Amino acid sequence: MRWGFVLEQESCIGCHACTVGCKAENDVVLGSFRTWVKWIETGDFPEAQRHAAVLRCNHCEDAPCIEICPTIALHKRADGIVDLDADRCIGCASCLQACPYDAIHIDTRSGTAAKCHFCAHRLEVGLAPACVSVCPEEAIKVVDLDAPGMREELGRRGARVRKPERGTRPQTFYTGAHPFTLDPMAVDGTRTLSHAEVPDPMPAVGTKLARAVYDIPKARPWGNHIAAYMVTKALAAGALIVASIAPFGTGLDAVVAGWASLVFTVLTVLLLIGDLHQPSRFFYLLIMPNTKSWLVRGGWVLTAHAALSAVYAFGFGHKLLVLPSLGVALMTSIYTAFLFRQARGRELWCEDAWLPLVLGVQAAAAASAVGWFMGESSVVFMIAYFGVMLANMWSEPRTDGAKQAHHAMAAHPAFKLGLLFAFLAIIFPPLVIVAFALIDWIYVKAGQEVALS
Amino acid sequence: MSTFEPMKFLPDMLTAAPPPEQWDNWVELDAKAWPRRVRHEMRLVPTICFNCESACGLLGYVDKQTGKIRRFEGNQVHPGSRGRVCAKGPATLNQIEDPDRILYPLKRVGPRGSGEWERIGWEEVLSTLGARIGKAITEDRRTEVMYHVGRPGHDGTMERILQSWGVDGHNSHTNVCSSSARVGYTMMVGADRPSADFAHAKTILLMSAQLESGHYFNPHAQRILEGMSAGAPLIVMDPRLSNTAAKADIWLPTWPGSEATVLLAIVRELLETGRFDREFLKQQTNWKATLDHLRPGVKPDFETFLEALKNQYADFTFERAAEESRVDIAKLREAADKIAAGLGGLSGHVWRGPATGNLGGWQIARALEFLVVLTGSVGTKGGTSLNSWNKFKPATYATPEPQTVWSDLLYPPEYPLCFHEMSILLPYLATKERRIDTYFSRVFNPVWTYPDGTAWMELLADEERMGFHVALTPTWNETARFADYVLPMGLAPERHDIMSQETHAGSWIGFRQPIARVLAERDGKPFEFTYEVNPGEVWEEEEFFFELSWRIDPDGKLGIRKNFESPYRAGEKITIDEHYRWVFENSVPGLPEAAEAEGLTPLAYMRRYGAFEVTKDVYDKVKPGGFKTPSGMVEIYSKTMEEWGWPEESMPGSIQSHVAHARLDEGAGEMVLLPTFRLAMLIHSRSANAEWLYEIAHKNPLWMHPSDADRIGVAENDLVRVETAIGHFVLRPFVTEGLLPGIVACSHHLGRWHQKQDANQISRWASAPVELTVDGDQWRFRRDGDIGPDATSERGGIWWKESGVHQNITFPVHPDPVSGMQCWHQKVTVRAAQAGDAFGDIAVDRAKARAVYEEWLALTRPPTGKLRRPLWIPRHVKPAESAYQR
Repeated sequence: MRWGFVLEQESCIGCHACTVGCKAENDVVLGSFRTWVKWIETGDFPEAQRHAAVLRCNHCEDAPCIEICPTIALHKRADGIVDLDADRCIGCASCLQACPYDAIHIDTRSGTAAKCHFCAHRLEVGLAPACVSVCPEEAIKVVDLDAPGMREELGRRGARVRKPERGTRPQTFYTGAHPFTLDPMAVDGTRTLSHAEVPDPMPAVGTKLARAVYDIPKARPWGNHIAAYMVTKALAAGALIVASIAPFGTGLDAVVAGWASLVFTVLTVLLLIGDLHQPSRFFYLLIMPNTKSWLVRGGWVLTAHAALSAVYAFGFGHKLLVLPSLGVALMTSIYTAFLFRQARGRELWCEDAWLPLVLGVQAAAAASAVGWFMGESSVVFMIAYFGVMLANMWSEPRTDGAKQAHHAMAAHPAFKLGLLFAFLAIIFPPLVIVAFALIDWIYVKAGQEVALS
Repeated sequence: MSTFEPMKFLPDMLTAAPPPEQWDNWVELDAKAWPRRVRHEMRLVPTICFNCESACGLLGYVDKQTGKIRRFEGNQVHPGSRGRVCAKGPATLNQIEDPDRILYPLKRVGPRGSGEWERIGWEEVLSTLGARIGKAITEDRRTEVMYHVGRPGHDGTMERILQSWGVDGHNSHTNVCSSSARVGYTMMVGADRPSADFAHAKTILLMSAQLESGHYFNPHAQRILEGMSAGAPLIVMDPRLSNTAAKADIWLPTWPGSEATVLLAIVRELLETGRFDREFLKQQTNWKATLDHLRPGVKPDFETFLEALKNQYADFTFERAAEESRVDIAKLREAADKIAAGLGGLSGHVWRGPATGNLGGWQIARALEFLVVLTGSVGTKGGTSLNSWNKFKPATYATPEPQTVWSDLLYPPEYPLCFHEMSILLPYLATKERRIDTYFSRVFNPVWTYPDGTAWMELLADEERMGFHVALTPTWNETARFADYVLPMGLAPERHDIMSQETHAGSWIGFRQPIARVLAERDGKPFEFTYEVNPGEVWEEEEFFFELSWRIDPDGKLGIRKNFESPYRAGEKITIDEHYRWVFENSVPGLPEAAEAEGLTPLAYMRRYGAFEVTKDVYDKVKPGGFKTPSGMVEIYSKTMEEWGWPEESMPGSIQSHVAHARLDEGAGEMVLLPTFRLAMLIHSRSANAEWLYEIAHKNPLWMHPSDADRIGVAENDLVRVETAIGHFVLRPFVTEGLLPGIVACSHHLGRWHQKQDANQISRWASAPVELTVDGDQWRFRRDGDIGPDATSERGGIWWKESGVHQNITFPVHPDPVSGMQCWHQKVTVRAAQAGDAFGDIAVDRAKARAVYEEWLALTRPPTGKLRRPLWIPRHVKPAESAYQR
């Protein structure tokens, strides 16, 4: 028995009964939806057409949200449902970044994530999900995907899924859906909607094959906290690098570098905790970890980083620690690339094969900036950072979503200004910190400015 | 669509809803605590939704521990809605939990409209109103008491009560709604509404947006898709690409008012090509009288009749239809072919749409029904029946004598054929001499919903013309602020009503009941009146009016009291339980038997199930002489039209609409505004406090075709000004290809407002603060901010910033001279906003409004004979024949 939804758009009239039935059943917070109707328009009068599709969690076989969730709040049941235990959720919003479908939101009242859970609590008592029960057209079907002939029937009906190329293996199927309703890249979401505001529309795509006439607000969960943590973390990594090579007869002071690293590490951790919607639960990461999540692994790395920083800060640094310290410092800077790779909803980040290199070079440039304050900096590292950023600007990502975000990022004044500061940092290394702030900020922002649904 | 087999809806181990056997002891798990299993023991109590007139079944899920209703879902027992609901059904929870809803009777403090209120008790209300109304009756001012209903939610209840008072006082909203369509249908088949058997149709022809609105949205939408899946093509006529038109096989974007020409072109085509039901025409219609009208004195021969009929419609060529409608001629032919193929099974339905929008719209409905008649689809399986065959109105225990007075405030002399009251003209009809002593506005918001709202503001503020205004309403609105009493009446789970609607080929009754009362009774808790168990002291009309009737006539001398005496305890005041007990015991065939089979009394049965199927598969009820027209036949030729001043409209025809493109100076930028089209998730002006609905729909931009946007020189973020005959409003465009060029459109529901002194509020997330300045005849509303930080909800943050723009108040009255219908379409000029214009601006010139009223009044043809109105045409609360004398 594997539960699955089939949205039979041939029967759907886009009336939003399902939206409200779900709201009522699950007390979904205003401004967010566990299921919703998207309406688009195509064609020119008198051949104009309007099409609806009901969107929600796809209960993927290879659910990226499960992989990234640090506390196993999200998990896949044996019967196929991707369920969410809000009691374990720390509100990091990583799942929102991992999901390519806008299926998850943060309930601002509880500070925890929420999404369609197939009304598992209703299935338990033999009742169909709320959306299924209310629908005037019985357009939302519950099926047993393992039932004999079911997959064949779906094939015969031309059932499709959303974004199969993302490799998530969605288990929510659509029949009779206009393909553009399932492909946000085909739809211009910047236009006025017919009866609602979208407070912050996603930027238009190049080819406007259709326009949205009804859609819901879209989240950009990560903002200044995350951009800032990337800067402080780079500086922490740089400082630890400085501390680790300080004993090798340079003019560098291992204790000062150690303290710098410790302070920046603590700042990093405080920024991360501050970004949580349930900050008091931050330690769940340590006591109920999903060891596959790079949030968890990053947490371990930061812990090791802090420990090593303290060793140097309290004067116990030694040449023998150089390799472990360099290793940890490198991991500190580049683990974000692996975290971002798990953010499979954000193609700018997860398709960025060069990100580990970029972050490693960033750490080297940070080390040079820290070292500058002690009289020792490295022009090579600064040139390397500028060069890597330039190459980044000229590069062309592979996927459409990544391309769109990349173009927007490269065109943004913050990126251009950041490049300028990276160049100037070759002459005056501390300026690279400004470059970090600008580039990391636009990287985080641009990555979330691509419509997922 | 071609035949489509929907997938099976649920696997066998799941059910869509708990079965009735478990309703007393339903156990479910908490959604938010999941995956922790927290049990809730519930009692499920059926009622009927109150949001629109579909009267769908609802099941209230009551938590045994807290006694609160946790949510509403559908009632599978209900034959109309079959367990399913639209978005508005579950949103009932928002409405009953609205922290700003009115919970206690209120009396105004200070002058009308000043916004201050004090709480009073029901006793004071009853004794004051009882005395006042009693005085009006004893002093023979029996046309000065009026009950004006927006949302009825009941069937015949208030008609009976008012008739028992001997007053001619029932006013309704029909003439902003469906008057014209009702005239069209009545003239032809003697029943005012169609009942289409969509599920079995061969062809479906819709002229309203039944997949998102219309009178019976949910039940109809279900069956329309069933019919489509079985292979019936869907044809929709609408200048706007509604969601319904978007589902259609053929969308005919007809220029407003051209629809009768299009339909009659199809009539002509069917006649010319012999694709019509000869037998039906011969057996069931008044073809002889029609022939005699067309060719006076000629021998009544059926072939001659057909010749004459073809000749009558020879001018309705497809070319003419294409010119008037601006629809591609190939599409018109295609539609005609599909309608012809629907022989014997044409489901045609218009509720409002073009019948409502256009001068002469009643002929549009008549032409549609003419097609149903021609294709022999009246009462067939898959065809279109009469509402009277598919709607069941149970008799009550006491039927009062009809009143012997006639109120010109309701049925003024100039409109003898109007269908239901000339409610839009009340501000013009009510004078110091012909005044209203006591006025009940009931779930009714004319200041906002009606055309010429400033005239209503003047009327309601005027204590000479409007003696005492009682607003029966669950929420504050723009009208209630002018009341003297504001009395809270219950929502879906808080009141008793019987409902029945012609949703399909069968009939049913639905029983709306106060859930808290039902449970209190089961638990043996003592109470007398519903307001004792409802939230606050929210009451229900029926019980209130029973009490009030006794107060008006305490000793029975006026002959009123006897209509409210118990059939079970002679001479005692009837209780509401007894009232319904009698109906269910005596008036619903099959119900007593069904109840007995379960060992229940009929009342207990209805309280348990909330609905009962009275008849099913009702087909082929036509018989010659069986129609409620003067001749007893289906009337192609209507002698009534001839006798009552409209000889040129005695045959189905096409009247040039007031907004036909031939009447527009398109070169000068004149356009048609298609106003107040509905959204599927809102209901008039009373869904504002449902935040789950409002977050989906809170804007009403001006729909505009790109070619018009280019011509006017505006883009989507610009302000535009829409100028009507009497004023203007300022909003932003929604530029879309889904609209006929030359038309603009703006949806209903949105654009609520309040003034600073309104202490109690329309929900803050729905209503903009306005500053009103009145300078002689010039009224100006200017927005003073919009949704602010005081808009809060427990369900989350209010994330939308702008409320909509009010349009109706800038429309003059347009009473159709035949049907009395407010012809809603407006001839407008749309411009880029002028200097000084701001979003939400509204301006009205009352002098111009009065002038337009006079202009349309001049179109009327008052009767010249002995009677005020034909006796055979239905009239709410029909008076005695003596009152019909002029």
